[in-house]
Amino acid sequence: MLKLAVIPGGICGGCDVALASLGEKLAEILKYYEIVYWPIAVDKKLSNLMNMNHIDVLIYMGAITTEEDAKLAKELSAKARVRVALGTCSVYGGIPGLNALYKPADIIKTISLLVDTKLESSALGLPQPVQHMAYTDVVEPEVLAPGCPPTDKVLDQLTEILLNYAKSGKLEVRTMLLGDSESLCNNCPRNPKTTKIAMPGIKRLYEVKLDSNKCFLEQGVLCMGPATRAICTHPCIKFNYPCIGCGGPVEWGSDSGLSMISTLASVLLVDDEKKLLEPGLARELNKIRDVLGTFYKYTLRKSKAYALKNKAGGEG
Amino acid sequence: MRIGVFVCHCGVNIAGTVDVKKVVEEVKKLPDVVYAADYVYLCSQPGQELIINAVKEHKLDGVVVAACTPSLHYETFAKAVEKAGLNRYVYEMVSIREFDSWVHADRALATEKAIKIIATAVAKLRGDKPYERARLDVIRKALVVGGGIAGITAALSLAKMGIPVILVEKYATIGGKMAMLHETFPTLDCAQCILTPLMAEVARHPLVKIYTLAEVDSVEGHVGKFKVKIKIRPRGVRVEDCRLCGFCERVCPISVSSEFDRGLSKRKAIYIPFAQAVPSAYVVDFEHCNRCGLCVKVCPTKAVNLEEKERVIEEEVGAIIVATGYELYPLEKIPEYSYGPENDVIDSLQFERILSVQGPTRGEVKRPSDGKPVKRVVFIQCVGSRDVNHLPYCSKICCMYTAKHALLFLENVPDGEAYVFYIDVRAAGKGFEEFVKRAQEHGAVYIKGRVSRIYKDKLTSDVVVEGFDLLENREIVIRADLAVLAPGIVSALDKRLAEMLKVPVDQFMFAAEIHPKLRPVEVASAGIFIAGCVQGPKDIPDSIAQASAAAAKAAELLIQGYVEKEPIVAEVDRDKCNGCRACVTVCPYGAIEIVEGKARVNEIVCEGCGACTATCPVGAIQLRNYREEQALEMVRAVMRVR
Amino acid sequence: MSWRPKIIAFFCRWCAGAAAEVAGVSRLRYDPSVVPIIVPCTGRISPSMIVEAFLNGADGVLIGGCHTPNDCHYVAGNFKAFKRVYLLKKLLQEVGVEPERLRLEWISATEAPKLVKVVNSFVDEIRKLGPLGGKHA
Repeated sequence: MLKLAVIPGGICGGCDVALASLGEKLAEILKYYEIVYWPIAVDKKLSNLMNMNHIDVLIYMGAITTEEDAKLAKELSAKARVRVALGTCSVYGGIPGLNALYKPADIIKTISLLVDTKLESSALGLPQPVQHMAYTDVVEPEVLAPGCPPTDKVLDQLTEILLNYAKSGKLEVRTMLLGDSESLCNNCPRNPKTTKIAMPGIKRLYEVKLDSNKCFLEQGVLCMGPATRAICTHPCIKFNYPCIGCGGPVEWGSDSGLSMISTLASVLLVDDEKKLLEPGLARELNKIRDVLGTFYKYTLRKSKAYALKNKAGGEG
Repeated sequence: MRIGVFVCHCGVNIAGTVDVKKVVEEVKKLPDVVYAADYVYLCSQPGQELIINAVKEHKLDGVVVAACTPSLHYETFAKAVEKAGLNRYVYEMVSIREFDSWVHADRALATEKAIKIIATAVAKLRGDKPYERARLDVIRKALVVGGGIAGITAALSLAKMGIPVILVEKYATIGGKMAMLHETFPTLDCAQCILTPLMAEVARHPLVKIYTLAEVDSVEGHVGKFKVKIKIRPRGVRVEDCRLCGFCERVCPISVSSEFDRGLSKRKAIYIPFAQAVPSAYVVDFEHCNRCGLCVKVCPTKAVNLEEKERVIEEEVGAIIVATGYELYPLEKIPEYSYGPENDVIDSLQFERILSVQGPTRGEVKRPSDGKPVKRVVFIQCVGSRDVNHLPYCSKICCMYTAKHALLFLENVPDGEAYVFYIDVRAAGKGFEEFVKRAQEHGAVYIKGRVSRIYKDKLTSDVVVEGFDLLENREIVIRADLAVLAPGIVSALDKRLAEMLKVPVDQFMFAAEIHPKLRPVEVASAGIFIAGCVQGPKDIPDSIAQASAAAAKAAELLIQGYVEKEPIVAEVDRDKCNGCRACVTVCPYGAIEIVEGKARVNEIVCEGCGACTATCPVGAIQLRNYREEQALEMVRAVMRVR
Repeated sequence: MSWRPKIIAFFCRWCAGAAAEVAGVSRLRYDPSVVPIIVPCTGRISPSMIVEAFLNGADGVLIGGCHTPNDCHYVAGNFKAFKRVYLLKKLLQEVGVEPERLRLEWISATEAPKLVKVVNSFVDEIRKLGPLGGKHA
């Protein structure tokens, strides 16, 4: 029996639910794997895990937000044969990754402004926050399974990898990024694939009566689909909600935020440029209040924008 | 790669400030540079030989020349590189003269900058690929859309250059609006007298094929080879057999409003638009014809065929000239003026018809409602033009034709009174100012001010014009026999036709020329040209001038017989492309379309601007030899030096 | 060695690049801290290229293009550049890079003196802002 450990970093619980929702497929996995650690599902102690010599497959969920997360990530990954970064937080830093803009001390300060109790983490025995990062900043995992939460498509691929590994003892390719190597537009049910995108402005979701058959961009609603990896079967879009980019970039290592900034700016009001001129165009672009939150909601930590922040020094 | 870098001294122009020896030494360290040399005048014969020999001797497969500006000698070194057996697209030239030695004084800093500039060229060159220029045959034939004075001029001009032309006209006759005019300003030439010889000439010319009752149905292809489908409505009369005897017209029981007389008279359902129409034949108005067959019976040459059907023909042409002309602003949109012949409030074209000897009143100025001779007429300029509620622009021709109308009226009715309400008088052309003066000297009363209301007084049958006289600062009411409005000029081009012909239009449906100053008859779509009022309101001499220009531009490519295309265009990696259409959206030339779900670049239409490359969210479309990776490397190369 | 600003300028071939050429022919003088890269059109410039410059050590990025609304040789590439730069400047602000380090100017082929003025004033501004990220190690 191979040893499988599921390690939570800074999580929301969504990846636990996603894994658990494998349902009957878990039974197949359990034919080959013994789950030696998974806090929500299995009653095994961390101390046991720390004492083990090796783990066959380690699945790390969540971002690294505390010293504890970092320690577990480093030490346990070192003795694991196959490391899986599960979920967008683990692969890209996710939404906790947005905190990478701030110093840990400032995060504590902000929280303590919102909470009555005086928060001094050491005094309460709470783990120390660290500069927030992705699991992939600490380890080079063999498998990257993005998604917030990981989708059926990604989980199916992961399951197949786990079963193949169990049967053959080998992984096909080093550093597999799960999902399909294309953007969401390729198979989007709304992409008319003929006309151009006449983006009439920038509209918030409540400002538009959303047409469930029309491309979001053509309605003035920002959809990250063009730059986002197809890790899913468009569930958000089918429920009349634009893609917010939880799948990350199409290719590992690219910066989907900068691409999408360019794409959006380029197609916005393209037929009215000479009528609106710079002031009119600027007025419309000003409707984007939070560029990082809009274009890097899930991927900031791994982005060029973040690298630039570090280059500039200081805080954002 | 094996790159050779050649640094020119340009005498002392470069070497006087830049340490060229040091530059040669440093650029040898750049990646893939295997050879570097300097020379006093690289553009000279021995200079070029040096490059050619180095390429052969050192088996170079890429060349960077650092010298003066490429504007001067890019072609010189490109030819040298080709002589050495290399493809010209694996050659880069940068200026270290205009961009460096001529603008800086500090030797050390200028030298460092020269190295950096060369570093960017090397970085770009490392990603360059060889390409071949495409030569496309051009079909030696042109299509002219619109048979008004502009279309006729363009067609004749091309035909006289030996180029076959197809002239497509929507109505039953060519001649356009000019055929409806009585006399033209400022010479008061009879419009028909100067137009009809041109109409006859263009119809007679062996190289011109005219299709009337015809409209363009679809356009495919690109510059040099447009495949055009033309839909031709049935005339109902065989042109070659019609003798213009008019028997059919006499027996026809159906009477409808005449388009040529702009609704002021009636015509039959079988009619000839005007006596000098070209083609010289009658036409059946199938919309109103009741198929009684009387005309068929009486025609002495059996020319009438009521069974004729619509047909579609296909033509292949190398260039298209769009000359679709103008229409008048719909005056129903200005209800306060009570426009309507029944109210004796008419527009300027209707007044032309009244003045015309062949018009509804045989040239006598009688008003439409009751035929009463007109003694007092009020002309209102700028109806719909220069108006925030209607058209913001000036329609250019109305001041002149109004002066003409006032003058002609006063000559026709010696005891008549003519009033003109104006905001400004625009008389910019040759002899125009003098012409307006002449109208005023003849007795036309010019009132500066706008008209707020016009209505027909049912009791007195006067046309009441209520306006304001700005110069006298008082309201003014004129009771007249007739009011003539000068409506704004609008484009006759519709959205569907504009899209089909790939003519970019502005919000008023006027064709958007590539550059308003430098390129007034060309549009962003290669091989398509514009002439006449489709570009904006203008008078006859300007229309003719533009039509001649458009013909010349079209002839440039039709006579040469081929189009040579620079291969530095965008290309699509279909594996990466997701068909998101962002590139299609930004391309200024419409050079990209989605085929089978992925973008495809029309290499003939693409101009290589790179907008698509920077727009693509996944980097699937790239400008050849200026790919994103190359651009990033160029940036890194600058920062890596020192 | 006192610090000298490192600035990359993207000039479009038809306007700003031509102006730079005329500046050379007229022997006008400007600060050598700016290294020019010629692009066919400012519409070719992606935010990626600009960020790459900063990430690799540039202290400032200058973009010179054709005047709006009608001068762009390729119809409206300059508008694309404007919109992209506008959004990118917001991003720069959010990550702590002074947005003044990125400058977009319309310079026609006949405005060589303007080009010189822009380059010199931009270098001055960058000097005042200092190196990106504070003192270089």
